[in-house]
Amino acid sequence: MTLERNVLLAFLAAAALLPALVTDQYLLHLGVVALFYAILATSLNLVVGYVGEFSLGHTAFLGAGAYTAALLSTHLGLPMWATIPLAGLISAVFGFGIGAITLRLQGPYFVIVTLSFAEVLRIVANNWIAVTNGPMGLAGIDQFGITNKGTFFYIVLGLTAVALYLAFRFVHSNAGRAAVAVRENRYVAQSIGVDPFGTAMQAFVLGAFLAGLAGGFYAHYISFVGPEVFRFPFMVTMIIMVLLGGKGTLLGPIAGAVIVTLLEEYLREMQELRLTLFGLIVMAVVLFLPNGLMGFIAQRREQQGTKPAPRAATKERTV
Amino acid sequence: MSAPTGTSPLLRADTLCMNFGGIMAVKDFSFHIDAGETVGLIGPNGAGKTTCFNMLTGFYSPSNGRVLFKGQDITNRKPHAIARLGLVRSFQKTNVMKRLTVFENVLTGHYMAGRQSLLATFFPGEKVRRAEREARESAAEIVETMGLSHRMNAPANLLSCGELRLLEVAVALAAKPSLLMLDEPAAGLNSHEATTFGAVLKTLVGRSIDALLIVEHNMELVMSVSDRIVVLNFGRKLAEGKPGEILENREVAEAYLGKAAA
Repeated sequence: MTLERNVLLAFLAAAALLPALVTDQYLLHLGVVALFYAILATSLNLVVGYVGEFSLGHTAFLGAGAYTAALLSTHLGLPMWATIPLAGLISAVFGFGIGAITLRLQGPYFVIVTLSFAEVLRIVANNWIAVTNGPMGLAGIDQFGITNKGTFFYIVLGLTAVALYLAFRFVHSNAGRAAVAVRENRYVAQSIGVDPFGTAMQAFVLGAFLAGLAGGFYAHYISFVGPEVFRFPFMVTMIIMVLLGGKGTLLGPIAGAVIVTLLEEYLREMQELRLTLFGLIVMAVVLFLPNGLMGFIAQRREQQGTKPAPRAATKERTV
Repeated sequence: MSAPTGTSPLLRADTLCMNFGGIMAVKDFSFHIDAGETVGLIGPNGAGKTTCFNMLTGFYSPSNGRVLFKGQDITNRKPHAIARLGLVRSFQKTNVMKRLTVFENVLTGHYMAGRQSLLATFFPGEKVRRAEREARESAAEIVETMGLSHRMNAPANLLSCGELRLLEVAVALAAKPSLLMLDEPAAGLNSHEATTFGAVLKTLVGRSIDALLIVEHNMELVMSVSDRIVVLNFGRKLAEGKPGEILENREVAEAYLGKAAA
Protein backbone atom coordinates (compact mmCIF):
# COMPACT_ATOMS: atom_id res chain seq x y z
CA MET A 1 0.00 0.00 0.00
CA THR A 2 2.76 2.44 0.94
CA LEU A 3 4.91 1.23 -1.94
CA GLU A 4 1.98 1.61 -4.28
CA ARG A 5 1.33 5.14 -3.08
CA ASN A 6 4.98 6.10 -3.49
CA VAL A 7 5.11 4.74 -7.02
CA LEU A 8 1.94 6.65 -7.90
CA LEU A 9 3.36 9.87 -6.48
CA ALA A 10 6.67 9.29 -8.27
CA PHE A 11 4.78 8.78 -11.51
CA LEU A 12 2.85 12.03 -11.09
CA ALA A 13 6.02 13.92 -10.16
CA ALA A 14 7.92 12.54 -13.14
CA ALA A 15 5.01 13.41 -15.40
CA ALA A 16 4.94 16.96 -14.01
CA LEU A 17 8.55 17.42 -15.10
CA LEU A 18 7.90 16.27 -18.67
CA PRO A 19 6.79 19.61 -20.19
CA ALA A 20 9.87 21.25 -18.68
CA LEU A 21 12.16 18.75 -20.39
CA VAL A 22 10.28 18.22 -23.63
CA THR A 23 9.07 21.04 -25.81
CA ASP A 24 8.27 18.94 -28.85
CA GLN A 25 4.51 19.37 -29.35
CA TYR A 26 4.09 15.90 -30.83
CA LEU A 27 5.67 14.18 -27.82
CA LEU A 28 3.59 16.31 -25.48
CA HIS A 29 0.52 15.27 -27.44
CA LEU A 30 1.45 11.64 -26.82
CA GLY A 31 1.82 12.45 -23.14
CA VAL A 32 -1.65 14.02 -23.08
CA VAL A 33 -3.16 10.98 -24.79
CA ALA A 34 -1.38 8.60 -22.42
CA LEU A 35 -2.70 10.42 -19.36
CA PHE A 36 -6.20 10.68 -20.85
CA TYR A 37 -6.15 6.91 -21.28
CA ALA A 38 -4.67 6.45 -17.82
CA ILE A 39 -7.79 8.10 -16.35
CA LEU A 40 -10.06 5.96 -18.51
CA ALA A 41 -8.23 2.73 -17.71
CA THR A 42 -8.23 3.58 -13.99
CA SER A 43 -11.98 4.15 -14.11
CA LEU A 44 -12.69 0.96 -16.06
CA ASN A 45 -10.45 -0.95 -13.67
CA LEU A 46 -12.70 0.02 -10.75
CA VAL A 47 -15.45 -2.03 -12.39
CA VAL A 48 -13.43 -4.82 -14.02
CA GLY A 49 -10.77 -5.18 -11.35
CA TYR A 50 -12.61 -4.42 -8.14
CA VAL A 51 -16.28 -5.21 -8.73
CA GLY A 52 -15.11 -8.10 -10.89
CA GLU A 53 -17.71 -7.62 -13.61
CA PHE A 54 -16.65 -7.06 -17.19
CA SER A 55 -18.17 -3.87 -18.55
CA LEU A 56 -18.15 -3.39 -22.30
CA GLY A 57 -20.16 -0.21 -22.01
CA HIS A 58 -17.67 2.10 -20.41
CA THR A 59 -17.67 4.34 -23.48
CA ALA A 60 -21.19 5.37 -22.41
CA PHE A 61 -19.59 7.41 -19.62
CA LEU A 62 -16.75 8.73 -21.75
CA GLY A 63 -19.30 9.87 -24.32
CA ALA A 64 -21.75 11.28 -21.78
CA GLY A 65 -18.94 13.35 -20.31
CA ALA A 66 -17.67 14.51 -23.69
CA TYR A 67 -21.11 15.57 -24.90
CA THR A 68 -21.90 17.29 -21.58
CA ALA A 69 -18.74 19.39 -21.76
CA ALA A 70 -19.29 20.12 -25.45
CA LEU A 71 -22.90 21.23 -24.96
CA LEU A 72 -22.21 23.29 -21.84
CA SER A 73 -19.33 25.00 -23.57
CA THR A 74 -20.96 25.73 -26.92
CA HIS A 75 -24.45 26.66 -25.64
CA LEU A 76 -23.78 28.23 -22.26
CA GLY A 77 -20.21 29.31 -22.82
CA LEU A 78 -19.08 27.82 -19.53
CA PRO A 79 -15.31 27.75 -18.88
CA MET A 80 -13.31 24.55 -18.77
CA TRP A 81 -12.98 24.44 -14.99
CA ALA A 82 -16.77 24.20 -14.83
CA THR A 83 -17.50 21.98 -17.82
CA ILE A 84 -15.09 19.17 -16.91
CA PRO A 85 -16.34 18.62 -13.33
CA LEU A 86 -19.94 18.89 -14.56
CA ALA A 87 -19.12 16.33 -17.25
CA GLY A 88 -17.98 14.01 -14.47
CA LEU A 89 -21.13 14.62 -12.44
CA ILE A 90 -23.55 14.09 -15.34
CA SER A 91 -21.65 10.97 -16.26
CA ALA A 92 -21.94 9.76 -12.65
CA VAL A 93 -25.72 10.25 -12.94
CA PHE A 94 -25.65 8.10 -16.06
CA GLY A 95 -23.57 5.59 -14.11
CA PHE A 96 -26.19 5.50 -11.38
CA GLY A 97 -29.01 4.92 -13.87
CA ILE A 98 -27.20 2.30 -15.93
CA GLY A 99 -25.76 0.65 -12.83
CA ALA A 100 -29.21 0.40 -11.21
CA ILE A 101 -30.20 -1.88 -14.09
CA THR A 102 -27.00 -3.68 -15.07
CA LEU A 103 -25.53 -4.37 -11.63
CA ARG A 104 -28.42 -6.73 -10.93
CA LEU A 105 -26.89 -8.95 -13.59
CA GLN A 106 -23.70 -10.95 -13.46
CA GLY A 107 -21.26 -12.54 -15.86
CA PRO A 108 -22.15 -12.57 -19.55
CA TYR A 109 -25.51 -10.88 -18.94
CA PHE A 110 -23.78 -7.88 -17.44
CA VAL A 111 -21.34 -7.75 -20.38
CA ILE A 112 -24.09 -7.77 -23.00
CA VAL A 113 -26.38 -5.27 -21.31
CA THR A 114 -23.61 -2.74 -20.60
CA LEU A 115 -22.53 -3.03 -24.23
CA SER A 116 -26.05 -2.33 -25.42
CA PHE A 117 -26.33 0.78 -23.26
CA ALA A 118 -23.26 2.26 -24.94
CA GLU A 119 -24.70 1.34 -28.31
CA VAL A 120 -28.08 2.92 -27.48
CA LEU A 121 -26.34 6.15 -26.49
CA ARG A 122 -24.39 6.10 -29.74
CA ILE A 123 -27.60 5.76 -31.72
CA VAL A 124 -29.20 8.58 -29.75
CA ALA A 125 -26.16 10.79 -30.39
CA ASN A 126 -26.38 9.91 -34.06
CA ASN A 127 -30.07 10.73 -34.43
CA TRP A 128 -30.94 13.45 -31.96
CA ILE A 129 -29.74 16.04 -34.41
CA ALA A 130 -31.33 19.03 -32.63
CA VAL A 131 -29.05 18.54 -29.65
CA THR A 132 -26.04 16.53 -30.78
CA ASN A 133 -25.89 17.67 -34.39
CA GLY A 134 -26.03 14.00 -35.37
CA PRO A 135 -23.17 12.36 -37.23
CA MET A 136 -21.66 15.79 -37.91
CA GLY A 137 -20.93 16.11 -34.22
CA LEU A 138 -20.24 19.23 -32.22
CA ALA A 139 -17.26 21.09 -33.58
CA GLY A 140 -15.38 24.17 -32.51
CA ILE A 141 -15.51 23.54 -28.78
CA ASP A 142 -13.80 26.39 -27.00
CA GLN A 143 -10.14 25.83 -26.18
CA PHE A 144 -9.79 29.22 -24.50
CA GLY A 145 -6.89 30.16 -26.69
CA ILE A 146 -4.65 27.40 -25.34
CA THR A 147 -2.26 26.50 -28.12
CA ASN A 148 0.58 24.99 -26.17
CA LYS A 149 0.18 21.24 -25.58
CA GLY A 150 2.11 21.70 -22.36
CA THR A 151 -0.86 23.55 -20.83
CA PHE A 152 -3.23 20.77 -21.83
CA PHE A 153 -0.73 18.33 -20.42
CA TYR A 154 -0.91 20.00 -17.00
CA ILE A 155 -4.71 20.04 -17.11
CA VAL A 156 -4.93 16.34 -17.86
CA LEU A 157 -2.21 15.65 -15.30
CA GLY A 158 -4.32 17.42 -12.68
CA LEU A 159 -7.30 15.28 -13.65
CA THR A 160 -5.12 12.16 -13.49
CA ALA A 161 -4.03 13.14 -9.98
CA VAL A 162 -7.68 13.55 -8.95
CA ALA A 163 -8.58 10.20 -10.51
CA LEU A 164 -5.71 8.38 -8.83
CA TYR A 165 -6.42 10.02 -5.48
CA LEU A 166 -10.09 9.00 -5.55
CA ALA A 167 -9.32 5.51 -6.81
CA PHE A 168 -6.58 5.05 -4.21
CA ARG A 169 -8.83 6.18 -1.39
CA PHE A 170 -11.65 3.95 -2.56
CA VAL A 171 -9.56 0.84 -3.08
CA HIS A 172 -7.86 1.10 0.29
CA SER A 173 -11.03 1.88 2.21
CA ASN A 174 -13.54 -0.30 3.93
CA ALA A 175 -15.79 0.10 0.87
CA GLY A 176 -13.01 -1.01 -1.46
CA ARG A 177 -12.38 -4.11 0.62
CA ALA A 178 -16.10 -4.82 0.49
CA ALA A 179 -15.97 -4.63 -3.31
CA VAL A 180 -13.08 -7.09 -3.37
CA ALA A 181 -15.02 -9.37 -1.02
CA VAL A 182 -17.95 -9.38 -3.46
CA ARG A 183 -15.58 -10.10 -6.34
CA GLU A 184 -13.85 -12.94 -4.51
CA ASN A 185 -16.84 -14.53 -2.86
CA ARG A 186 -20.32 -13.09 -3.05
CA TYR A 187 -21.71 -15.30 -0.30
CA VAL A 188 -19.02 -14.59 2.25
CA ALA A 189 -19.40 -10.90 1.45
CA GLN A 190 -23.09 -11.03 2.29
CA SER A 191 -22.49 -13.01 5.45
CA ILE A 192 -20.21 -10.28 6.79
CA GLY A 193 -22.84 -7.63 6.06
CA VAL A 194 -21.77 -6.40 2.63
CA ASP A 195 -24.59 -5.39 0.30
CA PRO A 196 -23.23 -6.62 -3.06
CA PHE A 197 -25.44 -4.33 -5.11
CA GLY A 198 -24.75 -1.17 -3.10
CA THR A 199 -21.02 -1.81 -3.01
CA ALA A 200 -20.80 -2.48 -6.73
CA MET A 201 -22.83 0.67 -7.33
CA GLN A 202 -20.30 2.82 -5.48
CA ALA A 203 -17.44 1.54 -7.61
CA PHE A 204 -19.52 1.78 -10.78
CA VAL A 205 -20.58 5.40 -10.16
CA LEU A 206 -17.02 6.39 -9.24
CA GLY A 207 -15.82 4.76 -12.46
CA ALA A 208 -18.47 6.64 -14.44
CA PHE A 209 -17.49 9.93 -12.78
CA LEU A 210 -13.81 9.50 -13.68
CA ALA A 211 -14.62 8.45 -17.24
CA GLY A 212 -16.84 11.53 -17.49
CA LEU A 213 -13.95 13.78 -16.41
CA ALA A 214 -11.78 12.21 -19.10
CA GLY A 215 -14.59 12.73 -21.62
CA GLY A 216 -14.94 16.37 -20.65
CA PHE A 217 -11.24 16.92 -21.16
CA TYR A 218 -11.36 15.10 -24.48
CA ALA A 219 -14.07 17.46 -25.76
CA HIS A 220 -11.94 20.53 -25.13
CA TYR A 221 -8.66 19.00 -26.22
CA ILE A 222 -9.88 17.67 -29.56
CA SER A 223 -12.36 20.53 -29.86
CA PHE A 224 -14.79 18.11 -31.48
CA VAL A 225 -17.22 15.47 -30.20
CA GLY A 226 -19.08 13.06 -32.46
CA PRO A 227 -20.95 9.78 -31.95
CA GLU A 228 -17.61 7.94 -32.39
CA VAL A 229 -16.85 8.46 -28.70
CA PHE A 230 -19.39 5.71 -27.97
CA ARG A 231 -17.83 3.34 -30.47
CA PHE A 232 -16.26 0.05 -29.65
CA PRO A 233 -12.60 0.83 -30.55
CA PHE A 234 -12.31 3.11 -27.51
CA MET A 235 -13.62 0.26 -25.41
CA VAL A 236 -11.13 -2.19 -26.89
CA THR A 237 -8.25 0.15 -26.17
CA MET A 238 -9.34 0.58 -22.55
CA ILE A 239 -9.72 -3.16 -22.06
CA ILE A 240 -6.28 -3.91 -23.48
CA MET A 241 -4.76 -1.33 -21.16
CA VAL A 242 -6.44 -2.75 -18.07
CA LEU A 243 -5.68 -6.37 -18.95
CA LEU A 244 -2.11 -5.76 -20.05
CA GLY A 245 -1.28 -3.63 -17.01
CA GLY A 246 -3.06 -5.84 -14.54
CA LYS A 247 -6.64 -5.55 -13.40
CA GLY A 248 -7.31 -5.11 -9.72
CA THR A 249 -4.15 -3.04 -9.21
CA LEU A 250 -3.84 0.74 -9.33
CA LEU A 251 -0.47 0.82 -11.10
CA GLY A 252 -1.44 -1.67 -13.78
CA PRO A 253 -3.90 0.45 -15.77
CA ILE A 254 -1.44 3.36 -15.81
CA ALA A 255 1.39 1.19 -17.09
CA GLY A 256 -1.05 -0.29 -19.60
CA ALA A 257 -2.18 3.17 -20.74
CA VAL A 258 1.37 4.38 -21.34
CA ILE A 259 2.48 1.21 -23.12
CA VAL A 260 -0.56 0.90 -25.36
CA THR A 261 -0.57 4.61 -26.26
CA LEU A 262 3.04 4.36 -27.41
CA LEU A 263 2.42 1.07 -29.20
CA GLU A 264 -0.61 2.50 -30.98
CA GLU A 265 1.43 5.47 -32.12
CA TYR A 266 4.50 3.60 -33.29
CA LEU A 267 2.52 0.85 -34.96
CA ARG A 268 0.54 3.42 -36.88
CA GLU A 269 2.51 2.63 -40.05
CA MET A 270 1.11 -0.87 -40.02
CA GLN A 271 -2.42 0.51 -40.29
CA GLU A 272 -5.02 -2.26 -40.29
CA LEU A 273 -2.46 -4.81 -39.18
CA ARG A 274 -2.26 -2.84 -35.94
CA LEU A 275 -5.62 -4.18 -34.75
CA THR A 276 -4.52 -7.73 -35.54
CA LEU A 277 -1.43 -7.14 -33.45
CA PHE A 278 -3.57 -5.89 -30.58
CA GLY A 279 -5.68 -9.00 -30.84
CA LEU A 280 -2.54 -11.10 -30.54
CA ILE A 281 -1.38 -9.05 -27.57
CA VAL A 282 -4.67 -9.66 -25.77
CA MET A 283 -4.42 -13.39 -26.43
CA ALA A 284 -0.83 -13.48 -25.24
CA VAL A 285 -1.71 -11.55 -22.08
CA VAL A 286 -4.63 -13.82 -21.27
CA LEU A 287 -2.50 -16.92 -21.82
CA PHE A 288 0.82 -15.92 -20.30
CA LEU A 289 0.08 -13.00 -17.97
CA PRO A 290 -3.44 -13.60 -16.70
CA ASN A 291 -2.90 -11.00 -14.00
CA GLY A 292 -1.18 -8.51 -16.27
CA LEU A 293 2.22 -6.91 -15.86
CA MET A 294 1.60 -5.95 -12.25
CA GLY A 295 0.46 -9.46 -11.40
CA PHE A 296 3.63 -10.77 -13.01
CA ILE A 297 5.83 -8.38 -11.07
CA ALA A 298 4.07 -9.17 -7.79
CA GLN A 299 4.56 -12.86 -8.46
CA ARG A 300 8.25 -12.39 -9.17
CA ARG A 301 8.72 -10.39 -5.99
CA GLU A 302 6.93 -13.04 -4.01
CA GLN A 303 9.12 -15.77 -5.44
CA GLN A 304 12.18 -13.83 -4.43
CA GLY A 305 10.68 -13.38 -1.00
CA THR A 306 11.02 -9.62 -1.13
CA LYS A 307 7.36 -8.80 -1.12
CA PRO A 308 6.93 -6.04 1.45
CA ALA A 309 4.90 -7.45 4.31
CA PRO A 310 2.22 -5.15 5.68
CA ARG A 311 3.08 -6.44 9.11
CA ALA A 312 6.08 -8.15 10.58
CA ALA A 313 5.25 -11.80 10.11
CA THR A 314 6.98 -14.83 8.81
CA LYS A 315 6.69 -15.61 5.15
CA GLU A 316 5.94 -19.16 4.25
CA ARG A 317 5.45 -20.80 0.95
CA THR A 318 4.81 -24.35 2.00
CA VAL A 319 1.62 -25.80 0.64
CA MET B 1 -23.14 -8.02 21.37
CA SER B 2 -25.85 -7.03 23.79
CA ALA B 3 -27.87 -9.81 25.33
CA PRO B 4 -31.53 -9.92 24.37
CA THR B 5 -33.87 -8.22 26.77
CA GLY B 6 -35.94 -10.22 29.20
CA THR B 7 -36.24 -13.93 28.74
CA SER B 8 -37.04 -14.00 25.01
CA PRO B 9 -34.60 -16.19 23.10
CA LEU B 10 -31.85 -14.71 20.95
CA LEU B 11 -33.15 -16.52 17.89
CA ARG B 12 -36.50 -18.16 17.45
CA ALA B 13 -37.80 -20.01 14.40
CA ASP B 14 -41.52 -20.81 14.17
CA THR B 15 -42.84 -23.60 11.92
CA LEU B 16 -40.36 -23.00 9.12
CA CYS B 17 -41.17 -24.80 5.86
CA MET B 18 -39.21 -24.95 2.65
CA ASN B 19 -40.57 -26.35 -0.58
CA PHE B 20 -38.40 -26.88 -3.62
CA GLY B 21 -40.93 -27.42 -6.40
CA GLY B 22 -43.02 -29.93 -4.47
CA ILE B 23 -40.18 -31.43 -2.47
CA MET B 24 -40.61 -30.59 1.18
CA ALA B 25 -37.02 -30.03 2.27
CA VAL B 26 -37.96 -28.73 5.70
CA LYS B 27 -41.37 -29.09 7.38
CA ASP B 28 -42.65 -27.21 10.44
CA PHE B 29 -39.26 -26.69 11.99
CA SER B 30 -39.40 -24.73 15.23
CA PHE B 31 -36.55 -24.10 17.59
CA HIS B 32 -34.75 -21.41 19.56
CA ILE B 33 -31.33 -20.44 20.83
CA ASP B 34 -30.79 -18.51 24.05
CA ALA B 35 -27.88 -16.24 24.76
CA GLY B 36 -24.99 -18.17 26.27
CA GLU B 37 -25.89 -21.42 24.54
CA THR B 38 -24.10 -23.59 22.05
CA VAL B 39 -26.59 -25.60 20.04
CA GLY B 40 -25.68 -28.46 17.73
CA LEU B 41 -27.89 -29.18 14.73
CA ILE B 42 -27.35 -32.71 13.48
CA GLY B 43 -29.01 -35.19 11.18
CA PRO B 44 -28.21 -37.58 8.34
CA ASN B 45 -27.26 -36.25 4.91
CA GLY B 46 -30.18 -34.54 3.22
CA ALA B 47 -32.04 -33.98 6.48
CA GLY B 48 -32.42 -30.27 5.74
CA LYS B 49 -29.77 -28.79 8.00
CA THR B 50 -28.22 -26.46 5.44
CA THR B 51 -31.67 -25.50 4.17
CA CYS B 52 -32.49 -24.41 7.72
CA PHE B 53 -29.28 -22.41 7.84
CA ASN B 54 -30.16 -20.69 4.61
CA MET B 55 -33.65 -19.82 5.81
CA LEU B 56 -32.39 -18.44 9.12
CA THR B 57 -29.80 -16.23 7.41
CA GLY B 58 -31.90 -14.90 4.54
CA PHE B 59 -30.26 -16.84 1.72
CA TYR B 60 -33.59 -18.66 1.18
CA SER B 61 -37.06 -17.26 1.73
CA PRO B 62 -39.03 -19.81 3.74
CA SER B 63 -42.24 -21.05 2.11
CA ASN B 64 -43.90 -20.69 5.46
CA GLY B 65 -43.07 -19.77 9.05
CA ARG B 66 -41.02 -16.94 10.49
CA VAL B 67 -37.68 -16.18 12.10
CA LEU B 68 -37.21 -13.79 15.00
CA PHE B 69 -33.77 -12.51 15.92
CA LYS B 70 -33.42 -10.33 19.03
CA GLY B 71 -37.19 -9.94 18.90
CA GLN B 72 -37.22 -8.63 15.32
CA ASP B 73 -38.90 -10.44 12.48
CA ILE B 74 -36.12 -11.14 9.95
CA THR B 75 -37.99 -13.67 7.83
CA ASN B 76 -37.64 -12.14 4.38
CA ARG B 77 -34.74 -9.79 4.95
CA LYS B 78 -31.68 -9.81 2.74
CA PRO B 79 -28.61 -11.73 3.95
CA HIS B 80 -26.46 -8.63 4.43
CA ALA B 81 -29.23 -6.91 6.41
CA ILE B 82 -29.49 -9.92 8.72
CA ALA B 83 -25.70 -9.98 9.15
CA ARG B 84 -25.83 -6.33 10.17
CA LEU B 85 -28.14 -7.27 13.04
CA GLY B 86 -25.45 -9.60 14.38
CA LEU B 87 -26.28 -12.97 12.88
CA VAL B 88 -23.23 -14.17 10.97
CA ARG B 89 -22.76 -17.55 9.34
CA SER B 90 -20.16 -19.63 7.58
CA PHE B 91 -20.71 -21.89 4.60
CA GLN B 92 -20.40 -25.60 4.13
CA LYS B 93 -17.76 -25.61 1.45
CA THR B 94 -14.62 -23.78 2.37
CA ASN B 95 -15.49 -20.18 1.88
CA VAL B 96 -12.87 -17.55 2.24
CA MET B 97 -11.44 -15.00 -0.16
CA LYS B 98 -8.76 -17.24 -1.58
CA ARG B 99 -6.55 -14.67 -3.26
CA LEU B 100 -6.32 -12.47 -0.17
CA THR B 101 -3.95 -13.12 2.69
CA VAL B 102 -5.10 -14.39 6.08
CA PHE B 103 -4.79 -10.89 7.52
CA GLU B 104 -6.66 -9.29 4.61
CA ASN B 105 -9.45 -11.85 4.93
CA VAL B 106 -9.97 -11.08 8.59
CA LEU B 107 -9.60 -7.33 8.01
CA THR B 108 -12.31 -7.52 5.34
CA GLY B 109 -14.49 -9.27 7.90
CA HIS B 110 -14.52 -6.02 9.89
CA TYR B 111 -16.61 -4.38 7.18
CA MET B 112 -19.63 -3.61 9.35
CA ALA B 113 -17.63 -1.82 12.05
CA GLY B 114 -16.12 0.50 9.46
CA ARG B 115 -19.09 1.34 7.27
CA GLN B 116 -18.88 4.94 6.18
CA SER B 117 -20.29 7.41 3.68
CA LEU B 118 -18.75 7.73 0.24
CA LEU B 119 -17.55 11.20 1.20
CA ALA B 120 -15.71 9.80 4.22
CA THR B 121 -14.11 7.21 1.94
CA PHE B 122 -12.55 9.93 -0.20
CA PHE B 123 -11.75 12.38 2.56
CA PRO B 124 -11.17 10.26 5.65
CA GLY B 125 -11.27 12.24 8.87
CA GLU B 126 -9.83 11.25 12.21
CA LYS B 127 -12.87 9.07 12.96
CA VAL B 128 -12.39 6.96 9.84
CA ARG B 129 -8.66 6.67 10.39
CA ARG B 130 -9.22 5.52 13.95
CA ALA B 131 -11.81 2.96 12.84
CA GLU B 132 -9.29 1.69 10.28
CA ARG B 133 -6.55 1.41 12.90
CA GLU B 134 -8.88 -0.37 15.29
CA ALA B 135 -9.97 -2.78 12.57
CA ARG B 136 -6.33 -3.62 11.81
CA GLU B 137 -5.53 -4.17 15.47
CA SER B 138 -8.63 -6.27 15.99
CA ALA B 139 -7.85 -8.30 12.86
CA ALA B 140 -4.35 -9.10 14.11
CA GLU B 141 -5.81 -10.04 17.48
CA ILE B 142 -8.41 -12.38 15.99
CA VAL B 143 -5.81 -14.06 13.77
CA GLU B 144 -3.78 -14.63 16.90
CA THR B 145 -6.71 -16.00 18.94
CA MET B 146 -7.42 -18.48 16.17
CA GLY B 147 -3.79 -19.56 16.27
CA LEU B 148 -2.97 -18.41 12.75
CA SER B 149 -0.40 -15.70 13.54
CA HIS B 150 2.37 -17.62 11.81
CA ARG B 151 0.27 -17.52 8.62
CA MET B 152 -0.70 -13.86 8.86
CA ASN B 153 0.54 -12.87 5.40
CA ALA B 154 0.03 -16.16 3.59
CA PRO B 155 -2.54 -16.14 0.79
CA ALA B 156 -5.58 -18.15 1.84
CA ASN B 157 -5.19 -20.58 -1.05
CA LEU B 158 -1.92 -21.83 0.46
CA LEU B 159 -3.48 -22.80 3.79
CA SER B 160 -4.07 -26.37 4.89
CA CYS B 161 -7.62 -27.61 5.30
CA GLY B 162 -7.49 -27.19 9.07
CA GLU B 163 -6.11 -23.67 8.81
CA LEU B 164 -8.83 -22.75 6.32
CA ARG B 165 -11.52 -23.84 8.77
CA LEU B 166 -9.96 -21.64 11.44
CA LEU B 167 -9.74 -18.76 8.99
CA GLU B 168 -13.44 -19.11 8.14
CA VAL B 169 -14.34 -18.77 11.78
CA ALA B 170 -11.90 -15.86 12.11
CA VAL B 171 -13.57 -13.97 9.24
CA ALA B 172 -16.99 -14.55 10.80
CA LEU B 173 -15.74 -13.44 14.22
CA ALA B 174 -14.32 -10.28 12.67
CA ALA B 175 -17.90 -9.28 11.87
CA LYS B 176 -18.46 -9.24 15.67
CA PRO B 177 -21.59 -11.39 15.60
CA SER B 178 -23.98 -11.90 18.41
CA LEU B 179 -25.02 -15.30 17.09
CA LEU B 180 -22.49 -17.26 15.05
CA MET B 181 -23.71 -20.10 12.87
CA LEU B 182 -21.15 -22.56 11.52
CA ASP B 183 -22.09 -25.04 8.79
CA GLU B 184 -19.89 -28.16 9.07
CA PRO B 185 -16.85 -26.26 10.26
CA ALA B 186 -14.84 -29.41 10.96
CA ALA B 187 -15.45 -31.16 7.63
CA GLY B 188 -12.21 -32.59 6.31
CA LEU B 189 -10.29 -32.22 9.56
CA ASN B 190 -8.40 -35.16 11.04
CA SER B 191 -9.21 -36.14 14.61
CA HIS B 192 -6.32 -34.20 16.08
CA GLU B 193 -7.27 -31.04 14.16
CA ALA B 194 -10.91 -31.51 15.13
CA THR B 195 -10.00 -31.68 18.81
CA THR B 196 -7.98 -28.47 18.56
CA PHE B 197 -10.82 -26.87 16.66
CA GLY B 198 -13.37 -27.93 19.29
CA ALA B 199 -11.21 -26.42 22.01
CA VAL B 200 -11.19 -23.10 20.14
CA LEU B 201 -14.97 -23.18 19.65
CA LYS B 202 -15.57 -23.76 23.36
CA THR B 203 -13.79 -20.53 24.24
CA LEU B 204 -15.97 -18.36 22.00
CA VAL B 205 -19.40 -18.24 23.65
CA GLY B 206 -19.58 -15.61 26.34
CA ARG B 207 -16.29 -14.07 25.25
CA SER B 208 -16.51 -13.21 21.54
CA ILE B 209 -20.11 -14.14 20.80
CA ASP B 210 -23.41 -14.55 22.64
CA ALA B 211 -24.39 -17.90 21.19
CA LEU B 212 -23.25 -20.52 18.70
CA LEU B 213 -25.21 -22.75 16.35
CA ILE B 214 -23.22 -25.50 14.74
CA VAL B 215 -24.08 -28.06 12.09
CA GLU B 216 -21.58 -30.87 12.22
CA HIS B 217 -21.16 -34.50 11.27
CA ASN B 218 -18.27 -35.13 13.60
CA MET B 219 -20.27 -36.48 16.55
CA GLU B 220 -17.44 -36.39 19.02
CA LEU B 221 -16.90 -32.69 18.30
CA VAL B 222 -20.54 -31.63 18.25
CA MET B 223 -21.37 -33.58 21.44
CA SER B 224 -18.42 -32.09 23.28
CA VAL B 225 -19.09 -28.44 22.41
CA SER B 226 -22.91 -28.32 22.47
CA ASP B 227 -25.14 -27.60 25.44
CA ARG B 228 -28.15 -28.81 23.51
CA ILE B 229 -28.63 -30.88 20.37
CA VAL B 230 -31.41 -30.64 17.79
CA VAL B 231 -31.81 -33.61 15.44
CA LEU B 232 -33.32 -33.22 11.99
CA ASN B 233 -34.44 -36.10 9.80
CA PHE B 234 -36.30 -35.85 6.50
CA GLY B 235 -36.86 -32.15 7.12
CA ARG B 236 -38.56 -32.61 10.49
CA LYS B 237 -37.31 -32.23 14.00
CA LEU B 238 -36.76 -35.74 15.31
CA ALA B 239 -35.42 -35.03 18.76
CA GLU B 240 -34.01 -32.33 20.98
CA GLY B 241 -32.10 -32.53 24.23
CA LYS B 242 -28.79 -32.62 26.02
CA PRO B 243 -25.98 -34.47 24.23
CA GLY B 244 -26.23 -37.40 26.64
CA GLU B 245 -29.97 -37.78 26.03
CA ILE B 246 -29.54 -37.65 22.28
CA LEU B 247 -26.88 -40.37 22.35
CA GLU B 248 -29.35 -42.59 24.22
CA ASN B 249 -32.24 -41.78 21.90
CA ARG B 250 -33.45 -44.84 20.03
CA GLU B 251 -35.08 -42.92 17.16
CA VAL B 252 -31.91 -40.94 16.52
CA ALA B 253 -29.83 -44.08 16.35
CA GLU B 254 -32.35 -45.55 13.89
CA ALA B 255 -32.21 -42.44 11.72
CA TYR B 256 -28.45 -42.68 11.49
CA LEU B 257 -27.92 -46.41 11.40
CA GLY B 258 -31.21 -47.95 10.26
CA LYS B 259 -33.70 -50.05 12.21
CA ALA B 260 -31.89 -53.36 12.35
CA ALA B 261 -28.77 -51.92 13.87
CA ALA B 262 -30.58 -50.03 16.58
